[in-house]
Amino acid sequence: MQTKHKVSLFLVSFLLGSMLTVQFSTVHRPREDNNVVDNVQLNAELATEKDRQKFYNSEIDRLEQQVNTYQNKQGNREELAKAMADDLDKIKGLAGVKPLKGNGIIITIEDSFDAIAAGGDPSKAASLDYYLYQLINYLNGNDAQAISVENHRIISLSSIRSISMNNLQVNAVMINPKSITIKAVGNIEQMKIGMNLFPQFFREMGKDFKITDVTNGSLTIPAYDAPVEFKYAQPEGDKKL
Amino acid sequence: MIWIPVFGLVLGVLLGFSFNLYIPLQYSSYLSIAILAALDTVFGGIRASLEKHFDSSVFISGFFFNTLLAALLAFIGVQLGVDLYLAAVFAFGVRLFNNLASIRRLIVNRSRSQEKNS
Repeated sequence: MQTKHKVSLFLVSFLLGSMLTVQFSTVHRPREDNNVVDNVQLNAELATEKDRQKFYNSEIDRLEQQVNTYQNKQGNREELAKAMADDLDKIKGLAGVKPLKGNGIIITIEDSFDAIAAGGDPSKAASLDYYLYQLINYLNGNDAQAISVENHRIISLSSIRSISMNNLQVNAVMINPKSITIKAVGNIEQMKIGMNLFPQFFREMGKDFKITDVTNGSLTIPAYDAPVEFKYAQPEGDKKL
Repeated sequence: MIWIPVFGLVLGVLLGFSFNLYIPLQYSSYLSIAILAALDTVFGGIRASLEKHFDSSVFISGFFFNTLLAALLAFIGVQLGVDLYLAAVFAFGVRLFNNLASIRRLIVNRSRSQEKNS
């Protein structure tokens, strides 16, 4: 066999080997696809979306019913006014400008010598607002219908600020951080799930964390008492209420 | 002289794995057709070599031409929405088996003639 033939055979075989390897690597390469999700995740998302759809359908039914109520009572101004007043009451309750009552939990966070003796550091209380925010966020995410901190209703405009170790502001009102009472009306069991994380956070600040259930429906959450003014915003759309 | 293509093939495979080369997944179908064309050329070359009319220029040009033409045919098929690559698969597949059958017959005939001579 001539050298030329040998070289050509070698070259073609070499190229064929490389091509085979490249193809193999391409086909068997792990996919860098961020959209790949497992069935469990997809099923969970599907269940969530189904729940959401159910909720929206019930909301559509409720609103249609409301519209029908208004239309049926158009002739009778008194009944129409009463229906509208009832709806306004519901909306006020949801907005937090009306007191609410029901079952729920009372969380007490107060200074404790035992917690300090166990290594709690009261100087860490400067970050108390952060953990209170975490706690309220958790309650809101677990079926709490209304929350108050030291009888100050928490709404979308609320603020919690640690001014110093000994000063805490809730809704721009000074409260004593040595003893804080948080009330939450809602699904008791749901609100308490996962609550075991929080005592440790507060113990590190030298505070005790206690939860008391209120199951007789007597837990009252006061209304948001500060005036709600929208200086810099207004309802969107042409139709103003 | 069978070790030359074997050595080349092994070297190519080793080089490919050591550099961990890969192409975008959407082009892998073109490469698979090109590999089929290359295999056809290699077996054609082996057959020509056994029939004593191997031409390295025809072999090399055939390799590149067939490989590129097969890939191009597959590409045009994708653009036109017609599975043209099937034509290449069919043509090269048939030729591959024909070449393998010829190689088998040539090897059998050669071994028979060696037995007669001995």
